[in-house]
Amino acid sequence: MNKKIDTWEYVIKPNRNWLEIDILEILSYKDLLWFLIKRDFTTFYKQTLLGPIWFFLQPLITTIVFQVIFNRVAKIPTDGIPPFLFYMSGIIAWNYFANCLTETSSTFTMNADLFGKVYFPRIIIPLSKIMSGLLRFFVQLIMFLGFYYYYLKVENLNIQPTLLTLFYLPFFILLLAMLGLGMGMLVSSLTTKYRDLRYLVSFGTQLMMYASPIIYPLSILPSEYRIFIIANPITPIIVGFRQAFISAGVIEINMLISSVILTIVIFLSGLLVFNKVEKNFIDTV
Amino acid sequence: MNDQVLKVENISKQYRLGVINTGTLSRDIESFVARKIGIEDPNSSIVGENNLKNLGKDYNKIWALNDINIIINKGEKVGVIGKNGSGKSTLLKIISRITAPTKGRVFINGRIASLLEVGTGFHPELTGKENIYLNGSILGMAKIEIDKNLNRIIDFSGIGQYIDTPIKRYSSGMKVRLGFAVAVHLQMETLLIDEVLAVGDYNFQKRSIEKMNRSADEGKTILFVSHNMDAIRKLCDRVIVLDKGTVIYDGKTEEGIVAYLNINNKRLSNEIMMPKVRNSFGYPTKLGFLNSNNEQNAEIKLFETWAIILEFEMIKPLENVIAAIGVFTTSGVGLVTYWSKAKDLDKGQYRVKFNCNLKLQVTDLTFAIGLTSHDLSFYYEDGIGMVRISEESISEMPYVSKGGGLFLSSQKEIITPLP
Repeated sequence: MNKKIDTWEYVIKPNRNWLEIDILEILSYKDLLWFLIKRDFTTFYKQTLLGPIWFFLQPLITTIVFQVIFNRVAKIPTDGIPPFLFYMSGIIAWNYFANCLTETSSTFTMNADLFGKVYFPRIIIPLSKIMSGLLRFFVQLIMFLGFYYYYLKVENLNIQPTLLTLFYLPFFILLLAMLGLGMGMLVSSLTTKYRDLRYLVSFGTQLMMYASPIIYPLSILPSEYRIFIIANPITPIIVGFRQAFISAGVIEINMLISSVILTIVIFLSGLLVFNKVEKNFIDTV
Repeated sequence: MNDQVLKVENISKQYRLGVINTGTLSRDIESFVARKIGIEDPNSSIVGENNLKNLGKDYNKIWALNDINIIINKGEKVGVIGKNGSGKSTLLKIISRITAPTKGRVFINGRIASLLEVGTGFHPELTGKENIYLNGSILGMAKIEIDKNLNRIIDFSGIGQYIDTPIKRYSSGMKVRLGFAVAVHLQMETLLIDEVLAVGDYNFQKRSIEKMNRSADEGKTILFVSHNMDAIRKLCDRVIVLDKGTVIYDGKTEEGIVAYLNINNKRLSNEIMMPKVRNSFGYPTKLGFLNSNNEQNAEIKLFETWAIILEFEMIKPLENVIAAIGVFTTSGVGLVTYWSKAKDLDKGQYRVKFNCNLKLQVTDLTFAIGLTSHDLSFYYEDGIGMVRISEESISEMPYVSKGGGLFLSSQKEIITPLP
């Protein structure tokens, strides 16, 4: 009999260990991940007037509005970086993070019907959101690079892109995704019990944007506020992302390290809570 | 010994009744603090609820499944039957890993596909073909497997030329056929199927059962939950009967169906009181049965004329009200629907007597009640009550059939030898 038990391929148990995450199983669903990304992408522009142009339009218009209001009207400096590049780099990085956060935070509530009918590793859904967000981010990044090239060549700006940019960029993108995913998974796990957290996410991300150096450089902050903005884990990531292109701004290495540690902590706790909740959430949702 | 593909060991599942928490974080904290410092929970809905809770921990908990043990071997076609709320769906949800058990373990060999719904995850904006890939991968198929079966899936669905059209333009029947076509082509060793056969037209249902029978012949294992005894008979060689969360029978199909019908027998009653319904124009209050002597009785003799009494209350006045009773066998075959004459009704209590003089075979019947006015159906419920047509004290009884249905041949022809 004992011999028989050893040959079972899978055992369903009442409670899963916090740390029990079946990576191999997640990998076996990579095709599903791909089809979900494809679904998000193809359905995004079906039956829309402008289609994929929306990917460009939203950051472009936001950049112009920010430039007019915060730079021209409110006279907020941009550390000598062309305001257009300053705002656009901040906006596309911020958009990716906010997109990851809001999309993954509704994982359980939005997919309750699906999750109630069929099993697959639930983490596939937030992963697919991160990936399709990443595709959109790359499209916007290409647009940004176009403007960047224009400023380099035509405006003859004194900014030097270095080879290091190529190394920095994936690192900061990974941090953005991990932070967004981690926070999103935490919130989505909690929304299975507490629906009011949804409202917190929508206006929380808005507030968080003002607590990040999107519309202002760190250098203009009065020192008594500076500590709060730096404590925000997204701050060094945004600054670093911007700096990868334009060697300006102040980024301190210990600030970056604290952000990386915080990001990893948030990501891991999100992953663990999500993993714990996914087993029984269907009974409470 | 056969290869085991599934072993359910001491599985129990507990649900908590009512609201699990208050639903908002701040109130949960409030309740938590109140409990800690020992004052009455400001959010408890009933005064003194806490005292009740102290009486026993299990006060508001219910066991949907209680110590279930099942072993299923490779290639078996097992039907799971039971009344609503007997735990069938919970069992399927645990085996398909949608929810975790409270106690016990399930051991699995091979891949399991759970078909609790047809076309899970279909997206209206995607084409038929895109949805085949999406649905197939949600059900656990790899892309190569879908590639290999794509043409067969399209053929089976009969959608053909519309396969590149977004499925929001499909009729509901087409969507169901497409979803089912994917399902029957799953490459999993074990299929869990919950009532999905109840959809689609007759031809499609027949083809689906044939297809599943063939899958089983290929060595696939099928676990099939249904209320449709005919489908169970056609597909399954073994049934498990669940009642109130426990297995009450596990064995041959016909005997299992009898065991299932016997659970229902406990409900044989001459008069059924119906609960009040508020958000409607009216609702039935009582369903009763009279035998030919005008006595209340739910056990009717073969060929006896009998009557169904429906009493209902109108909450609001309504014109052109029609009361209807549908008569079904307990295995789900519809026999006849009786309608009242349309009448304008004020608020108040009403009664209709439907005389039933159909020649029925020995069978168990159950009923559906409908109340309508013009196109508006303001009340419908089926599976209410039970009447047994029995052969007791009938001297000549040659025409018994387990299938139920009409007894058409009341006239007995003489058999003559061929010249």
